[in-house]
Amino acid sequence: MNDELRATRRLSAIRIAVGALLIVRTTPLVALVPGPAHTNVWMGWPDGRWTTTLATAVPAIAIRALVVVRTLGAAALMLGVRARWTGIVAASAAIAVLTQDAFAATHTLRLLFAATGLVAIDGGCARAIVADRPFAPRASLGLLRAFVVSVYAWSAVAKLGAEWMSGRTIAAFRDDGLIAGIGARVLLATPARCEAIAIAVFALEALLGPALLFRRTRATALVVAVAFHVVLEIVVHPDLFGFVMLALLVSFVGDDQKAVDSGTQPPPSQPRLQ
Amino acid sequence: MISRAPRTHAIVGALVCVVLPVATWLERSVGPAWSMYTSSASYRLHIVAIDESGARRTLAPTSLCPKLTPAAGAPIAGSDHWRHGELPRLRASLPAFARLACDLGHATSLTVTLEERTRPDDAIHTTVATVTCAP
Repeated sequence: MNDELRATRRLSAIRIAVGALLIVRTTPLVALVPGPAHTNVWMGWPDGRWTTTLATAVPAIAIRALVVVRTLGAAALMLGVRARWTGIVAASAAIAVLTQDAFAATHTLRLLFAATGLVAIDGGCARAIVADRPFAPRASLGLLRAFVVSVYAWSAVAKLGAEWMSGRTIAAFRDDGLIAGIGARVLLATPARCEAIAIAVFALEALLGPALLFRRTRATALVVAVAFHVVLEIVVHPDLFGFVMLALLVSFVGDDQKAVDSGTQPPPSQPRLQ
Repeated sequence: MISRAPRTHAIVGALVCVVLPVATWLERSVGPAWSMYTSSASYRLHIVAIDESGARRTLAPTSLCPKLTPAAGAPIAGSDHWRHGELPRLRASLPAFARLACDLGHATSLTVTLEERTRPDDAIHTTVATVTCAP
């Protein structure tokens, strides 16, 4: 199996996972998720209740149409029906609906909608009902990897302030009851422990990106990243954020160069001199 | 197609990984991108209704929740006490928010005070909106 085909298959797996998460998070299926209780059953469906918008207010009938387009697009993306276009349309409709409720613009939904648009580029070339022609699968896989690395990097940058590093922010979340579990309460029992955990989380996020990019450290970084998101989902229930990140981390699973390095696949041929 | 791809991917990558996050860090109405659980900000809301006799009555922000979308109601509930987090765009929409409370009780006018601070020991930024309720 060559690298292009391997990339195509990996992207299709991510596409199915992201499409499924998009459907679950934006439809009545959200009831299956224990975290996001404060959401419309059809996310963004206007029902006359008040909110603030991030852009020009759109008539309710247009928002309803966008919700329908988003849902159909998400289903087509997951099933692989011209996923490149249906996925990009679904992501665009989802973002347009999100601009109509500023309070709903959470990190989880922004991550999910961005992932939808990115995975649509080449995610529909395999395991699809109506497959797309490959555009540049390896570049698309690289794009998803860059996106994951950028999320960790920005998250680390956001923690550079004194408030986080001193452990006061994490202590405030503990006091608000946002960090659950006996283990978490023990770990964050004192200001010194809060500070240590805060620094550890910052270091982890700062190192995860580079560690995922380097082939030698990738496998270890993947295990750590998966464990990190699983622990966060258990302890702070960050909506479906961890699930979206786990889907995107599939882009780092396997190694394009492994077959070449091990000799099971011939190295790329050298360009012929004329 | 293939020769065009790296450039397209580079542009999309720069946009999604750098330009858009930087934009959210500069224009902070929805919170800086990927800054989960790092905000030390907090806020508090006071709603005071004045009725026809001039009597003042304090309304709980939670009583407005049925009029708000679920996403808006969640951070407003219980915000008569300091709550951890930020209220995106509410400062600019405070008069419209205040008008929602006109239906609660027989108020002739309403004053909503939004207090915000970026850190627990920072100065409090106060925004006040007073609206006259239609009879």
